Amino acid sequence: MGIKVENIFYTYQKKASNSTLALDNVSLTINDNDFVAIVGETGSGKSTLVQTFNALLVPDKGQVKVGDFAVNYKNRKSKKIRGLRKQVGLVFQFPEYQLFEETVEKDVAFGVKNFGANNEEALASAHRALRRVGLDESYYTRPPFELSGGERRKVAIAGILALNPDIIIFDEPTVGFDYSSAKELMNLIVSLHQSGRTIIVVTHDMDLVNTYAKKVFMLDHGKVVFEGEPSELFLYARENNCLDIPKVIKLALALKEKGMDIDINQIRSIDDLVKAINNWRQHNG
Amino acid sequence: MPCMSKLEIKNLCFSYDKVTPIIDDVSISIEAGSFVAFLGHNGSGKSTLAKLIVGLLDKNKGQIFFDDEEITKKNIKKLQTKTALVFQNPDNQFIGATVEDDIAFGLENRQMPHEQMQDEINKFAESVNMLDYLKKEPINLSGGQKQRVALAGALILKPEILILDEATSMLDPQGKNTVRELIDKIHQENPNLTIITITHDIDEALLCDKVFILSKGKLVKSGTPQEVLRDEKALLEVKLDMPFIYRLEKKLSETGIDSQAENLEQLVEDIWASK
Amino acid sequence: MASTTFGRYSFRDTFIHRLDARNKIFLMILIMVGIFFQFHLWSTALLLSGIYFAALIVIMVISKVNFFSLFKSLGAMWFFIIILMVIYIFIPNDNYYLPVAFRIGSLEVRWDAFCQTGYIILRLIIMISLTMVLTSTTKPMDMTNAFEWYMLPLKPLHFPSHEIAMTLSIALRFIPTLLDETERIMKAQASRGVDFNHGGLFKRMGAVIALIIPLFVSALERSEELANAMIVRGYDPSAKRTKYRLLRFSWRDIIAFLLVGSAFALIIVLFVYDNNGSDLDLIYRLFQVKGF
Repeated sequence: MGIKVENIFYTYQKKASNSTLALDNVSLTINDNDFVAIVGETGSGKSTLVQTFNALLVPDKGQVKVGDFAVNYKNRKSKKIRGLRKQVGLVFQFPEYQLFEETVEKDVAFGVKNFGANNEEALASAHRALRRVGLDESYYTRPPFELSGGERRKVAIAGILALNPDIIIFDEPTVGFDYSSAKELMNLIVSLHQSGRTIIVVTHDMDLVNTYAKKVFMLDHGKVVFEGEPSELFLYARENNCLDIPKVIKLALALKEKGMDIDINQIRSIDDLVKAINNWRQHNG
Repeated sequence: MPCMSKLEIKNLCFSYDKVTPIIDDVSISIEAGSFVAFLGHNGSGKSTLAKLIVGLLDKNKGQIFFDDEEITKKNIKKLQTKTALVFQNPDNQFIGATVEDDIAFGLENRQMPHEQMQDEINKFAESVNMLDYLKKEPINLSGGQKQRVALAGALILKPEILILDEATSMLDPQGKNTVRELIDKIHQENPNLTIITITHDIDEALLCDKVFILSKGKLVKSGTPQEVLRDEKALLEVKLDMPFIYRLEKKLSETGIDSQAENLEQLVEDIWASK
Repeated sequence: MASTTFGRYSFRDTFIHRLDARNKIFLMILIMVGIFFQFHLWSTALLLSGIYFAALIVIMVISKVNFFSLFKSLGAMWFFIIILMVIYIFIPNDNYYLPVAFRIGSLEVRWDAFCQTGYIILRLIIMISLTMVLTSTTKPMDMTNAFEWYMLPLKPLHFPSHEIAMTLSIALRFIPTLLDETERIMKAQASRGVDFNHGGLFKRMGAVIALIIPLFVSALERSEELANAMIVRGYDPSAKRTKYRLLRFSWRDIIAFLLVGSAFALIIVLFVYDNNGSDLDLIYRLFQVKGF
């Protein structure tokens, strides 16, 4: 399933004197089974944007078409919104702070039951989702509050996966995680993408964008200022002196400046860079 | 004998339930004025270690020496005044209603006379570039600004040891950069201040004088970043990765480019020279 | 995100902003007590109400408080007005001064019922406005410090006045943070199909639990971290502390004190006259105005 955002505006505290325009005429298209990153400084409107994708926020003007449903002002009280939330899963930043049931499996099954499944179905989905995030049977009946922060985040992610959404949005999924936990989580997200889901990641982590994203949107003051592939983003970022360009790109750019024939578009990892350097050496050696 | 180590930890053990050890027989020695990192994965016990040092938790076994004086129940209050700790979450350590109130909090506890406070607050707010924000409430500050206030609130107590417990891990890249630059500046300007940074960010550890790697409550390795952080196998065992520059150098050496560069500029030169 | 609702502290440099919080609290209580003196003669009551109202407007103008937002926030009082009217109409009262307005069956409804309701509502509006002037001109920190100062005499009785003040100021500090948190958790649970706006009692209870428990857990975690942060910065509730924020009594406070004090004295004098017998209508004497 894809998302088509058409000229949306959103203002916080519309009536107050300090109202802020968070989204300013945003239009973009996310295709089915895309792996999209949304980047931008804190307060640029990234989180606001993705919250319109499952109608947690309804645009003041314009609309967001998700499948055949349009999130707009007219439909703001539509009964279909609940169905939309099942199709578009949103994993918030620090999701470990939304757990509340007495056992892990109940917490994961909670959402499934909200959408009308009976107890057995819900538990079965919960168990599937828990296995998917790498938590085995020994976790099912443990209280979530006894788990470590990383495990709690996995439980919260399982709570969204159990709904079997077509589109999954992750808001800063790896913040606070160490190297191996972050890698494990990104592997999970990649496997979700490979199984046909549309993935949207809101992030500040440019290494993550470079390694995983197929397409990037950059927001600034509520406007889309860049749209394209990661490598193009970093060229844009260097020109405009914004964002943290990944070290591997920085190095590739420095080598290119020295005169090395190197295609920035091909550099997604250290291995790519090493390969490019060796190619260049063979041609010049 | 001159006192060489600022902080000496000997065979320290700690556990909440006396069954699963959180800190397991850790011995560490830290020189005065050095900038060291406690590096470890989530749940390695590195934050617990910080809490033991400042006395927020009681150790089960072992000794901690501060300037060769053992920390005991009797002198802990006195020694606590010589350590400061900046925590991870910018919101949960902002005590005052505004920036100035928060920086003043420690001074009030130290019973500094009111007349002397304003100058001190201005001076330390200035040193973290927050002088223009004195009247601001935390809700109107970014995470990085709140952490700068926390640093001012810690430094104003003139600690001899400053511990940063993942102080940048919840910040966005902009906040991270400003806080890191600030910490670097603090290190340059206070040669006698011992700084311990607790982190899982390998690139942060790269800039330190010495690195202590913790895993599952044990000290597994220590040394200069160059010694410790080039050992990929050992790092992977404790669920960490090498810093970017070392990772690249290792891959390059497999294809015949040898470089021991410590910064990207040098590495670019070395690669270029391999032509 | 912070909103500028009426009653929330906003920084301005005015005479009233600069008054000592202790003085402001005391004077406000004094004015409220004065306002709540019940006058029997409608002429006195009405004239005084007018004066109170004019004084309120003057105070609001001086303190640069926005009064349009005040009247917006009074919208909820309609319900209260109707209840008061019903009480005054149906509950028998001996002190009627005014003629019958109309009859419902055998029940005589006198003009007094309307005057009585209006009188109470007017005074209530004035009191609410005054409280809001106080909260929007006084920093929450200063307010808690003032409360602490008032509780000082209780200290020898081991009354935890400092602890209460500290708790209060931390609670005030964390309200916006916890509001943000609440919004985030509500959205996260809504993404899991929780509907906070529809459904029967049972369903809504479930929704509230899904909000309250995570909020509670995170608040506990925050409080633990906050306690640690306070301890490492040398906080000891039982130890003596100096203060960065001093409350200062200045010439402004003396002026305000004299003004409000003399107004209060005047009200007392009027009140004594008023209660000495209903034939002694002071307003009538002073201005030769007939009663209502």
